[in-house]
Amino acid sequence: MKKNSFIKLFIKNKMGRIGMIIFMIFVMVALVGPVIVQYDPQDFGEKEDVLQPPSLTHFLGTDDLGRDVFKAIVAGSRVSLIVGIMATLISMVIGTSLGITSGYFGGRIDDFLMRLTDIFLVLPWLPLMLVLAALLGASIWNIILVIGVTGWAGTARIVRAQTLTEKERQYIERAKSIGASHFHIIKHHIFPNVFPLIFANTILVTAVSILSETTLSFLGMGDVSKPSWGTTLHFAFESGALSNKAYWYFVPPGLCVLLLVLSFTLMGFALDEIVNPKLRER
Amino acid sequence: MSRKYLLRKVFYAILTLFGVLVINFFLFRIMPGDPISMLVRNPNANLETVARMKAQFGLDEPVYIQFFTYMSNLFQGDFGTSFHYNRPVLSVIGERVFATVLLVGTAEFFAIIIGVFLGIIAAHRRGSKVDVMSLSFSLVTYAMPSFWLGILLIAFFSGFLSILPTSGMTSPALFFATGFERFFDISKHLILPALTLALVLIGEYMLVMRSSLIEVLTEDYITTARAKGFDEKTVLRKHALPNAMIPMVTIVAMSIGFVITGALQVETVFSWPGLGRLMYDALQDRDYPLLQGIFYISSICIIGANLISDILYGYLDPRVKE
Amino acid sequence: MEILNVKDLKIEFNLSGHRKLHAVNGVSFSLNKGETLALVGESGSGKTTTALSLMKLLPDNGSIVEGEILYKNQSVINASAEKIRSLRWKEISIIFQGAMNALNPVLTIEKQLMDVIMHHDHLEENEARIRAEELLKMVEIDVTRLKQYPHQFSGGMRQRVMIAMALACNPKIVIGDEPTTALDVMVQAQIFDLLERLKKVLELSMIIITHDLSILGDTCDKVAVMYAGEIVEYGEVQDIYCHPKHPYTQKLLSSYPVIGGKKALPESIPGIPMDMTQIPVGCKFAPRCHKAMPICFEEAPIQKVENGHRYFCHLGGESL
Repeated sequence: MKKNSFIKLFIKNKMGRIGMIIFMIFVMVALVGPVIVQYDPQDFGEKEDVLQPPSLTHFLGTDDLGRDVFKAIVAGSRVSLIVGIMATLISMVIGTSLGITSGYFGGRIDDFLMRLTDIFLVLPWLPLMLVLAALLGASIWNIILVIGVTGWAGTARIVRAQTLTEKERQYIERAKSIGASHFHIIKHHIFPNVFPLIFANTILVTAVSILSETTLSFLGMGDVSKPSWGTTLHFAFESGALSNKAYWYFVPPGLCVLLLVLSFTLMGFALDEIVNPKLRER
Repeated sequence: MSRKYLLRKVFYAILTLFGVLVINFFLFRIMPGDPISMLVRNPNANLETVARMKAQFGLDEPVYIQFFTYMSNLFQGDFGTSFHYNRPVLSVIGERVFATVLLVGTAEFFAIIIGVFLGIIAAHRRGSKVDVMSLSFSLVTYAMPSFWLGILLIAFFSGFLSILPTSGMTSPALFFATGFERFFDISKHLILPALTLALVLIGEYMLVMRSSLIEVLTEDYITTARAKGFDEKTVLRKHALPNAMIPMVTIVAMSIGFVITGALQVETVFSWPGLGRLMYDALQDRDYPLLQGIFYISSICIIGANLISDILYGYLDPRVKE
Repeated sequence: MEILNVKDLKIEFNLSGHRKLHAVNGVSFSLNKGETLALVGESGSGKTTTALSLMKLLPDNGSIVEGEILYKNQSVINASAEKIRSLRWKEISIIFQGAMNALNPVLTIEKQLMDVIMHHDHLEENEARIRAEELLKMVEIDVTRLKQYPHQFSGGMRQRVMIAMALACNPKIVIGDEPTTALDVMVQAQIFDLLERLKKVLELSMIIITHDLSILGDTCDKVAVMYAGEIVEYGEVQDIYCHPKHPYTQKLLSSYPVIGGKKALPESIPGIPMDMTQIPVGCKFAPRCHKAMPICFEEAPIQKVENGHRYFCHLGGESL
């Protein structure tokens, strides 16, 4: 599919358009926001600043330590996006390489890799992530690693299936017969054809990664020095914002997660419709 | 479904379980900050505990002997002793099973009925208001962290309306009450956590049911059924649903397998005394034997559910051969 | 005795973006009791759509915009939903293409035979089972296979099950929609033998839909050749076989070497079937016709009739 027509189809798709707009807004906030709005998690406010409702000075009120909630959310957008995207990249690299290897070479390699994938598919991912995060210690890189390493199994399965169909194409036979190396065939013939599928999958996996990060941070596994939305929710819950009815403290960060994840799901659905034309006409 | 199919599935399940056990074994040993070093750094640990830990894990032995001991202990149902509770892990876990089963069972019960029902309506009337609303609902509940949904429900029903309790399974005052009073009290505590879990599941089930039924309704045998002169209701009930339910059964079985994982967030928010909350507490206390124990149990649940779903699949879909 | 009469039938499908597909454009034919009509044409020529409309089985986006269908002199188009449901299978039944997916994969064939018998003939379960066994015997399948599922049958056997099912309620008309496509030649012949025998015994009227003129042989009495939603030639089977008038029919016949030799598909007629969302001024077949003249692109041909043999072509009555 031509690049231009692809983008046109995407923009024409209502879900894709809405998702894209929400996503762009968050990207802008994450890029520009922290430059304009300075936030220091160590900068506790005065006693009278604690748990103040929204006002002109504090757009979204303050938390239990007198910090500005709005600033925390702006700073958190960067963490949530970085963790979500980096973790997804790790998952994609592992899932794609294992999937292609498995599908392309087949035989014993395939058997072994698919058994391994099955194991990762059934591992209780949340407990596993929690255990890993606890063992490795709370840092933003560990969280990225943990989410990335546990989230590749689904991708591997999809990529393998697609590789199997691509492998049967005639031009692959032809490339082989003129002596092209495996690496060459994978790089020039298999990967470009599997790519659209990987791309659509990436977007859906990013949604899951962002949710995982939020959950891990909420359960206290987050990096306190780089608070994400999940970390803010963790402190809100632990400090009893709920019983104090400090809605401004626990509603906005969750809403941000909801919108960002929703934007990815919408874009993923739209891409799915474009990549699988069968869904379009129906 | 043939015996060969069954045996192969059982064999794969055992193989997977073995894989999980191996990963688990190395996970707790090779990682930086393994249990012992964490324990030594822990000011609450005394020498006696450290020694007991070392003996339990057999850390002075070579790795293959450690692995052998580890496996044979597991087979004897010996999951070690919890640091925090100072009791066998299995008995600590045993006490919490009921609460989780009650929570998840209630949520699943309503989620399956409502999710399947909404999915059928949505598929049957594609593009209608019901369809669009159900779809939006699924998208939103999917994008929401379930703990946050729980928090919102607490804020609304307990903070704003003040009608339901927010945490635990029983009111302290009613701890020794019996019979109907106690049942009523538990039910009241159950509503919010079960609702949270159910809302998330309804979205998922509805989506699966919808797409599965839409797919089936385009099949030729549905045209045959219509050509036979059956009304739409009969076509749907007798000819479409038996096919459309097949993927549904798999999804439900899988989600029941992920029960502990699924309940973890909700149980944490609502302080529901189940396995999920136990896991969260074990994590806070760095109670490794307990953590590992829950990890095994969750894995066994998932692999077991997977196996059951494979068996059901073979039973429901006569095309599954071999 | 005339049992079915189709007059000037027009069917449209609504496509996305307010486009309309003119699937059937003014088709007329009639069917007598005990007679077999073949609807022949390439895929997309509107033959299956025509057949489905007889039972009002069009997909949701399709509708009959003009014309009339009379079954035993009663309008099918204006009949109530309830009336249509009692017409389906009891009066007109259908043998679907391929039969792979036309049979429900998760129900035993016993269930699928019995449910329709019990529905229309109001029989008890035991009686329905006896009838189901009878039907299987009729299509020469062992009755012990009643409890099996469709996937346990071979392609030809599934087709037999489908035939048994079509006959379950003693219909007056049976439609065979490509009843032997995807089967090998030997099995095709067996299925046609079976159909013909059953037709005689049960005094059925049949409509056979196919893209393959060569398989019809002496199964049918009349042939209607369809192109782009229209019947371009209609007549007795001998006339069509021996004196085809329309170049399209001639091409269809010549693309099938009779016996031996490699079988060519009708796609070997040069060009592709026309875009059915736009109707041209002239003859619809002209762009692909090897005998096309200038007038063919400017004017639609009018119908010519010779002893019940009718066709639409600017050319006179020259034959192959």
